[in-house]
Amino acid sequence: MPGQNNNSDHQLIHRFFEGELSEQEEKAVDQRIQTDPAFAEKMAQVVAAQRMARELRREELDSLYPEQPPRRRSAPPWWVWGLLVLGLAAGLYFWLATAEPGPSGGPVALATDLSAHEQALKQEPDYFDEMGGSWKVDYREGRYAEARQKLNTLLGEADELRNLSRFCYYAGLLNLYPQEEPADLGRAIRYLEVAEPEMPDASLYLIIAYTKAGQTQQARAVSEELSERQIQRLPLETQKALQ
Amino acid sequence: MGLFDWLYPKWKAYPYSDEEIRNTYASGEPGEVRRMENELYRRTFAYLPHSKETVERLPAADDRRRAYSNAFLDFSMQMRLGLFRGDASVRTFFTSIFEHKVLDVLKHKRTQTYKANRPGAVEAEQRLEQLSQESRDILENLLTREKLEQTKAVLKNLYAGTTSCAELLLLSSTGIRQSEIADYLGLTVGSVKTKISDCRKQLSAKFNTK
Repeated sequence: MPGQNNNSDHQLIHRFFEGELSEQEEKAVDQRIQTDPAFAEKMAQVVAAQRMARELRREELDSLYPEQPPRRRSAPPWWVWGLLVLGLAAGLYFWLATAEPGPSGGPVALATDLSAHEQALKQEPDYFDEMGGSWKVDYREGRYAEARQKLNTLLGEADELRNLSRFCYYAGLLNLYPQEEPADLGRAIRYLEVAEPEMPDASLYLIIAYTKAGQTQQARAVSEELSERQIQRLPLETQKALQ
Repeated sequence: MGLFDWLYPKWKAYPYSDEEIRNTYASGEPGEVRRMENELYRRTFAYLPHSKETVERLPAADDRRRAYSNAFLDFSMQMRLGLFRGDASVRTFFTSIFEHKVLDVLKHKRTQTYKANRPGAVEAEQRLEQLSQESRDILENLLTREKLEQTKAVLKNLYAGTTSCAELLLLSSTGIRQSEIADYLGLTVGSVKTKISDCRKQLSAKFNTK
């Protein structure tokens, strides 16, 4: 009889827990629990399964239970602040080391001697690249004597220097600050005078060339067109000569 | 994304928006749901059992843990079945469930009464209220610790088809309509009924052969 009733008992218990039984059927279930130990056992089994299904998931959650409240996200840990401070300091250092001074910074001294050539390349790379001629390779690679010779030849053959003001700027520098030979101030002045309207630094080098050549009046005349800030970029000896 | 989120995303206390939570539950993808639930349980809502107010009301850590776990189980079931309508935020929704669980624990401690006040008592178990006190006592006596542990061990590896019996029974124990369980599991109502019944039969068979 219990085996035959197995299915119907399951159905009954299932319907009981689904709330599908009538009041009369529920009373019958109540009676069966008290009089039929096997049926009571089945009922207990279902209750156990329900409790344990929940218990299984609760155990899983309990293993994740945070014994401490979660950390607030509003305060990053000390090392994040440390990294930020270090990063800012490094950035500031890099900026100070490499940046051009802004309007509020002090004037940068004009590069003289051979460093004037390096500075000229760095300062206006596009300006330099737009010109033609084999002298550029020599100039770029620091063979200033060869570059000077080629450029002087090139400009010497030109009918009109005004269309070659860019070339004149570099030629002026090369003749003002040659690698080994003495400066050719005449050429330097001639070329820098042509370059002056186009390149701001050309005016400063022209002033240097004038003063070196003893043409102080011309140097002062050019300097009058410049701001105090630009004048401060000149070497001290040139500034003195202008006074 | 906040200013520091990219620096320490894993520390985010509330990594899921309400919309993401709802969408994840709606996707029904078990792995994703489980992953998100673990995160919600471990972090997002974890301030509640540790709040000053909760500690004052439930000084025992075990009581707080139980209230929290039970609240989360109810929350999980209701979210899975789409019973959260979005009238308030998910956080507020969970807080209200947690508050009820705290009250359950307090009530249970005061009265020590049978079932409905038992912290974590489930809806289906409340069906036992329809029985007389004598029948309920008989059942309680049969539910020994040993029997419960055996049931738990068997239940871990019991499946109706590919559906975990533990999950099915957990869903059905919350008193949620079978049509809603069917929707969530992508089954027909008849199939849900059959599977739940199948799980109970399997469980019974395991114990009959022991």
